[in-house]
Amino acid sequence: MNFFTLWRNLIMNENELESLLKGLRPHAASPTLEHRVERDLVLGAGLRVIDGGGTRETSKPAARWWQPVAWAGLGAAAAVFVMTLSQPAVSPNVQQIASVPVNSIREVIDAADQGVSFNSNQLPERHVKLVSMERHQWIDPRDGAQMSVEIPREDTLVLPVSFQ
Amino acid sequence: MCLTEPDQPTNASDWKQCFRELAPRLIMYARGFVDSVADAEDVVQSAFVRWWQRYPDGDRSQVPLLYAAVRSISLDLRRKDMRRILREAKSDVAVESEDAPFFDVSVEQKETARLVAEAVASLPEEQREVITLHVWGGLTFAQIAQMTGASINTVAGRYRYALNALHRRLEPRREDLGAPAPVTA
Repeated sequence: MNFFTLWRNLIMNENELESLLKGLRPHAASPTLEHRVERDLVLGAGLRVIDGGGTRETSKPAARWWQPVAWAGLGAAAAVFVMTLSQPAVSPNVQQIASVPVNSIREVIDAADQGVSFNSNQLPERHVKLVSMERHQWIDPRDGAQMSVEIPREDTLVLPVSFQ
Repeated sequence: MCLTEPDQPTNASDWKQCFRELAPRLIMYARGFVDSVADAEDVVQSAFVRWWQRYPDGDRSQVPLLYAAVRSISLDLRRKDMRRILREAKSDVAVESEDAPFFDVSVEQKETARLVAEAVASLPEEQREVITLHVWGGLTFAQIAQMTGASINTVAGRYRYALNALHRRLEPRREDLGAPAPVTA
């Protein structure tokens, strides 16, 4: 046996190492994750409320989710437009920015119970104030450039109360 | 295989097959950025839903964008200190998930998987990312370069350094890896 063969056998070569790595299959996703994805796809909205206790629930219909995103998109487009005006003209073959939305999350920061009060019909209702932050992200797949928009929100939930 | 070439029609209900194919790789990639499997699954859920809503045909050419989304969401999640604090305060169930395995392996491969997982985890983040995306994600260096913002040469260099580092760490454990035994003269 020559030196080369002996050396090749003694040292784990690169191909052998790659084969070893590729022979290991990544651990499968948990069944609950597939259910969560299915639920989000069925509902048509991925906006998730993180309540601080680890529970994630889809809470908004798609139409309401797109409303702030549309405003954020308009704002981003306006910013790009203003930046374009302030820069010298570029050659016409330069492609337009093609950012893709990749993430939209609403995180509940604080929830304050404001107690029970009576409405105009003298019916009891509980008011809960929710302070949250919406985060939307776009990414330009050509160079990985990221753009993030954060929208603070404050909502009051009105819940019916029964004293039975 | 759920993924299709561009312009090839598919059934929109194929998302499950596509998800089952992609999710393990995506979770493994996300676990390189976040601490727990639970967080990695949250990241993958958000990224996959967005991706599938945008590309309901499972366009293969757009898979790098899915990985880019996982990367972006993971990094954003990691930046949130509040999330880390909450995670540390979670119950023992969550802590237990931290030890979840990286690979689905047979009994014979268990030790190999453990050693490889430890070796990969010991890599610097940039090298671990390239190894994960190239070996288990199946992405090319060009695709990795595009989604990470690094040059192809940089990506290839990181891959080379990573392989060398893994080699240095795994070679002494060769007998435990099930690799061919060295030939003795």
